[in-house]
Amino acid sequence: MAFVTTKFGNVLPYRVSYNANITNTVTSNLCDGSGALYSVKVVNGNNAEVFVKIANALTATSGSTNPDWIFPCAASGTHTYEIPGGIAFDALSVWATENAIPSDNTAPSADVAANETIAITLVTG
Amino acid sequence: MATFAKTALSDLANKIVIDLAADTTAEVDLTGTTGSVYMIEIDATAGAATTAEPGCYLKLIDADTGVTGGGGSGSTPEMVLYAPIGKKTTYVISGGWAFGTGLSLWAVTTAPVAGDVSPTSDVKVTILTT
Repeated sequence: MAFVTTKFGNVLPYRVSYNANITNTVTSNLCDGSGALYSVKVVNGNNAEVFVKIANALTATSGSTNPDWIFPCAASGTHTYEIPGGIAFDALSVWATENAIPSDNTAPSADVAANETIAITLVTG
Repeated sequence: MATFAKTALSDLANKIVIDLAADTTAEVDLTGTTGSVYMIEIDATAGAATTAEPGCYLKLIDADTGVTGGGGSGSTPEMVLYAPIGKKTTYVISGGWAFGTGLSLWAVTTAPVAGDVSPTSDVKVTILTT
């Protein structure tokens, strides 16, 4: 599933990027350049913990790139990591795996038949 | 007369954990029990960002023993939070990140698990938890 990014015209400098089912496939340069990361919301419909990994890089490789952020989300849990003031980045590359270790390239073990998905929403500026 | 009892702050984070200088040496089982982390402030204002050290990485793990921090045999953190040197960065975790074993952490200057270099200047970490 791909990210969909919504801007607020030229009124607000923020963007909302949403992926209804993030996997271990890396989305590179999500924001098409630099910006600031303000929020990461993870809705884990999976019956196992998931680790959302974000690299401050134009591109990344799941299983070999060391992410600058690892945001865990418990099984069947919802977490929102908010960063007041934001953190500046040069570029964002985003993916998710089943295990925390950066060398892991295991896709989150969502049960397709059970419609388990891992949705993620990022707010950037 | 009817009576009632309430446990104060039962649903709120009621502990503040402060590490005045987080480094590659792990601080283990900071609360001595299970709980949930609701807010983490990383104060790296004691230093100034450089090309070689633009930021630091706070690494957290749900474990109460055997946490080795950074280094070649380092523990695998479950949460990694980047913080620019020279700034104060706050992460608010709505819903809380539950740790069922123990809250342990360390801080280094690089993202890899084996990263073992402590921040040059003191990095103060304040955690609001249960």
